[in-house]
Amino acid sequence: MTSLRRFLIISILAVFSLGTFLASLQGYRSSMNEAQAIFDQQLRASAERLLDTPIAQLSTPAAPASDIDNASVFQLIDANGNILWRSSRTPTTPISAESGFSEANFGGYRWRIFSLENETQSRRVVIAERSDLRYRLAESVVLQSVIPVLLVLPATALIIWLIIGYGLRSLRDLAEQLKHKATDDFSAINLESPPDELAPVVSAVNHSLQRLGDAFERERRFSADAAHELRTPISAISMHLHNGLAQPEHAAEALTKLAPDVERLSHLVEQLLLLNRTTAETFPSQFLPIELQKFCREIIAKLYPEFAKRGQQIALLGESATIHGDRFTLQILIENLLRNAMKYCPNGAQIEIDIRNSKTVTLTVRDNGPGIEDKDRERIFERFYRAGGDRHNSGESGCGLGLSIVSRIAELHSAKLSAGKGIDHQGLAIHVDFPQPPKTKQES
Amino acid sequence: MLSTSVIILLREVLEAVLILSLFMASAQRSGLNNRWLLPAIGIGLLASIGYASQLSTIANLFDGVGQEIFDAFSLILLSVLLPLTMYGHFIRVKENSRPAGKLYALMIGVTIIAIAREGAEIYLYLSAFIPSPELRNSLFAGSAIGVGLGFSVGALFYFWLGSFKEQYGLRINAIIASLIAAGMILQACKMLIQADWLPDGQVWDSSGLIAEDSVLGQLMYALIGYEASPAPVQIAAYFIVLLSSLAFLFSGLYQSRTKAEKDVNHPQARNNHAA
Amino acid sequence: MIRVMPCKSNKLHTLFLLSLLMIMGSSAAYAGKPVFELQIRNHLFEPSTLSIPANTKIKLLVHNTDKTPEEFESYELNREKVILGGQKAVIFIGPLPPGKYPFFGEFNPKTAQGEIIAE
Repeated sequence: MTSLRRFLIISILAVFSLGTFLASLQGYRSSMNEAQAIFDQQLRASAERLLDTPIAQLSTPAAPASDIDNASVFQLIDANGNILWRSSRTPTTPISAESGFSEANFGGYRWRIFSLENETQSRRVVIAERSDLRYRLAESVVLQSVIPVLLVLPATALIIWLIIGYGLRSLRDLAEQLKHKATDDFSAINLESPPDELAPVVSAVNHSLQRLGDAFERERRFSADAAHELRTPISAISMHLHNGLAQPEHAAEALTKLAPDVERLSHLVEQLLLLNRTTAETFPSQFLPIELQKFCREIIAKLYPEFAKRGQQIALLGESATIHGDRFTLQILIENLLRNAMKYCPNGAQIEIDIRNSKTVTLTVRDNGPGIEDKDRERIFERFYRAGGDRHNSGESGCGLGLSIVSRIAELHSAKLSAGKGIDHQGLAIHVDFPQPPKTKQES
Repeated sequence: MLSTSVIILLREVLEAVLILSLFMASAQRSGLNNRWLLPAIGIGLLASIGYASQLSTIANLFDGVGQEIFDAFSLILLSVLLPLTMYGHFIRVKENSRPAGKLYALMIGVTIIAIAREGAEIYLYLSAFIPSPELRNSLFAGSAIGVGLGFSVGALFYFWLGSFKEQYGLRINAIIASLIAAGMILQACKMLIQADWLPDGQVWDSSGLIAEDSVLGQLMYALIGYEASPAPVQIAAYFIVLLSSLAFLFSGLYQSRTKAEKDVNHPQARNNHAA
Repeated sequence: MIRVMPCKSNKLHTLFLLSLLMIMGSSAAYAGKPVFELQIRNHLFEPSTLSIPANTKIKLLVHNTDKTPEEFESYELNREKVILGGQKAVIFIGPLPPGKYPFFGEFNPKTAQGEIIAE
């Protein structure tokens, strides 16, 4: 069974013609029997009429029996076996036939014979019809009902062919779309009004495509994220190494400084793997409550030397708020936002972290740097939200990729990212809206 | 005329079509294509015309029973070649790498012989009556019904054979092939009895139950060689061929299965060694 | 397949030879069978009734005088044979228990009808 369409057409046509043909064959046979019965009835009626005909004096038979080609003949025979009367072109010797219906050959034909005897008048009538003509006559009538059935069949076959082709069009459509899909095209299959049988297939295929696309995207993001995040510790390590090699007498000191960097590197690798392998559905299982004010203070303390080096001011505003999250990834999120501001803002700029705890917990990082044009902001927001890894090629070192990781972490925390105006309607603000789980309020 | 045409066409078409369906279904299981089919049918039809035109010469051989002897010989040949072909399919199902040339040759040969036999009678019948215009309608209508019934049954038979899972499908193919082969030997014996080469007799008469000229009778005739009143020789030959063909084919199935099991086990063993 | 083929055909070969020998013996025993003749004329059997001795194997000679072929067929006798136009065909029948055995011409079943009476 190589083709569904061929299988359906052939099997449906086979069943259809099997049924039709058997029915017409049966119809033909019973009609033929019925016709023969009617002919027999006529034969009997003619015989009875002939037998009842009063015949006073009988002339000699009407014509010589030289050439029998009549459709029907008769003989009227007396008790002694003499032919009293007969149709022309009828055998001159009595046709030997038992009473009732029989068949026999004479005169070069096969005949259907009816013989009837009248005891009182001692007469016998034998009447015969040519079998072949009777049969042909009946058949020509019966065929009129069989032939249309046969002639209609090719048209029926054509229509069945078309109907099945039409019925299978969405299947063909689906196959065609799948066939022409590029290997890296994970967009959903779109069928115009798929039939009930195909709808689950389409949705299953689309679901798989989406998961495949997500996995593909994760892979891409992973390599970009990994490169971005690993650069800082690796450069620190190489710096310490360089120092250690340049001044062998301070090697022990340099190695000691190396240790936390290596640890951070291995931790980072672990977390990156975790970040990129987990999905938003499975990740929250390891969430812990985090008090954001305290958390941000620690991060600021850690980054403070870098801000100080650029003469930038960093402030922590707002109120206390507790959320559920993963410490390490949230740390990366906040660090990335701060470093981003740090990089874009000129020396001496102002940077704030603002934490608001109303209906939801909102963490905002804003600055008074150059900011981004309104139009661009929307576009960049889109880009970093959808395909942050693309920024890799944009030329500005580190730009965007940090945000790509931010968006990924926010996604894992079911947090919403948005961008807005910074301090005094200058610069850039990035808001992270954390959903507030019911437990958080009780704890805070 | 219509009834006659239906019976003659149905009987002849059905016999050939059932073999073709069996071959096509088997070819699908053993991974062969159906490109052999059309040339084989074409050659078979040509051969049937050739056979029909030489029939008067053939009929006069062997003191006037040449037709029976020729027919019996071709039937015996078919009843040997048919199980052989199926055996080839069974072996190839498990060993796809095996060259299929001989198998194609067997299928083509059986098809040609079967069609030549059946086609000759159709050719004689049609060529006798096509010249008379008053019979043409019923001749064509009857032929269409007969051919249509034959091909419909063949198509459904083919799909039915293909609907089984492989292990059952192969067994069913083996049984059907054996039944057809046994039916052919039954016919061959009938021909040899008619030629007075084998003794006649009658064991039972089931014509009242299933008449040989009914559609069901024709179907059973083509499939299992049904005969309403068989002779003792026919029954003996029938069961000898049926049982030996079954034994032969099932031994083929068993052999190919054990071979396949070995093939499966072997790489595993090697992997274990490597591990 | 190749390995088994000769084995199978050998078996059948001997079977065939054996049956052939059996046949030769049986035909020799039936030598000198009575011959009956039947004619097909204008798609009719002449005579349409044929009496033969019961329990005796006979040789039936059917002469088709028509131009068209005919198939002698009888389900009761288990016989079928195509007889081309103008040809004579040999059909062996019997031995039959007493009774009536209808036969017909399959190509013209409505007219070509007859009966063998074994008595």
